Amino acid sequence: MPNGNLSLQQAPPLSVPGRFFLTAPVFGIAACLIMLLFPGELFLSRWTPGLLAVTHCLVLGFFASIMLGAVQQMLPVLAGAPILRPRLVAAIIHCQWVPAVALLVLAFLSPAAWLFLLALILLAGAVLAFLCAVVFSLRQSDSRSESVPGIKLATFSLLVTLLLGIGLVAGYAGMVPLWRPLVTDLHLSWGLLGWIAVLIMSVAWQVVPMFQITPAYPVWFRRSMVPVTLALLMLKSLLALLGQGPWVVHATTITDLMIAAGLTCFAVITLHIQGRSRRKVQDSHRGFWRLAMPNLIASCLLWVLAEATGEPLLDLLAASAFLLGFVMAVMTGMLLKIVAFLVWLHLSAANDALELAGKPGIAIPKMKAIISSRSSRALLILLPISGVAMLAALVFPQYFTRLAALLWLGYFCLLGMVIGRALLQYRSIAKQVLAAA
Amino acid sequence: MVEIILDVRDLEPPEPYERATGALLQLQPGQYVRMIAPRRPRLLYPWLAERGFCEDTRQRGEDLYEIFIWSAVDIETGKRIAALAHAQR
Repeated sequence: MPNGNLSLQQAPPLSVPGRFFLTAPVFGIAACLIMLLFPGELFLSRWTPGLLAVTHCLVLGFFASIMLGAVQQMLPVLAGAPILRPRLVAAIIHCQWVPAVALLVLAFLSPAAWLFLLALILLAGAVLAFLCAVVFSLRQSDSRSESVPGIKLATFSLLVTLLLGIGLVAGYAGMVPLWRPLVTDLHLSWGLLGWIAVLIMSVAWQVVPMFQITPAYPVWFRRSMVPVTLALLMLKSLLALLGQGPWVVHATTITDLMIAAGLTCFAVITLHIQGRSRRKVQDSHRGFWRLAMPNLIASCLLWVLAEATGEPLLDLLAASAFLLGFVMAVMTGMLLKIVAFLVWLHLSAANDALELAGKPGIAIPKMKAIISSRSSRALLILLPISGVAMLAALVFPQYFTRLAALLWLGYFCLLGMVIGRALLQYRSIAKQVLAAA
Repeated sequence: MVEIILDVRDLEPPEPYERATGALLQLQPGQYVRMIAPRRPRLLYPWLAERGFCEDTRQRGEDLYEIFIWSAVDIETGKRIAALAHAQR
C-alpha cells in the first residue's frame, strides 16, 4: 500500500502562504480604522456602507486571505498533489486579491459604479485563478484523506458565493436590479456556511486529533456532516427561489434549524473529544478551539432566535458571534500553529539538505520558540475581551463602538507582529543555511 | 536483535518526527526501531529513503500503526523484522 509520502521538497515555498498570512492582519487593522472613522452610523442596520465595508474587510481581507494561503499550502500535504508553479500562481492570485478587496471596501464607503466594476473584475480574476489551481491539483490527487471531499465542496461553495456576489456587485454598480435581501441572504449563507464552516469542519477532522491528541471524530459524523450541510444549503437556496408562501417559510425555518443543529453537534462533539485529550498540557491551540465552540453554539442559538422573532439586532449578534467568536478563534489558533509548523518544516528541509551534502547542520528552533506561548496566550486573552466589546457595541453603539474598535486594533496589530516576527526569524535562519551551503 | 520502542501516540507534530530521526541517527547494527503512532508518519518516509533506512508499516487498528525501521545494510535484521511483522499480522 502506498504510504502517501509527504516530501519536504514537495511543500510550496513559505512565500506562497506567507504573503496571504501577512496580508490578513493588515485588512483586520483597516476594518478597525473604518469602525473608528464611522462609529455613529455603523450599526444602524446591516445595510450601512460602513458595516458592509467592515464585514468585507474582515471576511475577504482577513478570513479569506488566510484560507487562500492555507489551502495552497495544504493541498500538496493533504491531497498529495502539488500546485504547479506555486510561486507564480500565488503571485497571480495575491496581486489581484489585495487590490480587489481594497477597492470593494472603498466602493462600499464611497459608492461609484466604476469602483464596484473594477473590484468585481479583479475579485473574479483572483478567485478563478485560485479555483483553477485547486481543481487542477485535486484532479491529479488520488488521496483518500477525509479532508479532500470537504475541501472540494467548500471550493464549490466559494464559487457559488462569488457568483452571487457578482450579481450583487453588478446591482450596486447599477447594471442589474439589486436583489436585496434574497440574494444577499443566499450570498451570506453560502459564504459563511458553505465556504467557511464546511472548510473549518473538513480541516478539523484531521487537525484536532493530530495537534490536540484527542480521539477521532465519530466516523458517521465526519462522513455525513459536510454533505448533509451542503444538501441543506441547496434546499434552503431552492426554497428561497420559491417565494414567500406559508409552507415555504415553514420549510425554510426547519432547514435553518437543521443546519443550526448540525453545527451545534459539531461544537459539542469537538468539546467532548477535547475533554478526552490524552495530552494533559494545556496549549493555546486547544484554547482557541475551546473558545470557538461555545461561540458557535451561541451564534446558532442567536440565529434561531432571530428567525423566530424577526429582530434584526439578533441577526447582527449571531453573525458577530459566528465571525468574531467562532471563526476568528479557529483561524487564529490555526494560523499560529500553521506558521510555526511551516517555519520549522522549511528550516528542517534546508538543514536536511545541508546534512545530506556532508556539511554540518544548524540548530533548528522548536515550534514553541518560533511563536512563543506568551504571544499566543496574549491573543487568547485579548480575543474574548474584544469579542464581548463588539457585542456590547452592537447593543449600545454610542458607548462601545470606539472601545471595540481599539481592542480589535490591538488584536490585529499583535497578531501581525507575531506572524511577521516568525517569518523574519525564518528569513534570518534561512540566510545562515544558505551561507553554510 | 534489539528493539527500540518509540511510542509517539501522545505527541503532536513535529515531535514524532524529531524523536524518530533522533533515535535513528543513533541506531547500531542489530537494532531496529518499532514506532507506535496514531497515523502514518508521512513526513518521515522521504527522510528514511534518503538516509538508507527500510521501513515496514502495519496498521493495527483504526488509529494505530506500527512502523518497523531498520538500516538497509543490516540485511539480517531486515529478514527477522519481516518475519516478526508478518507473525503479528
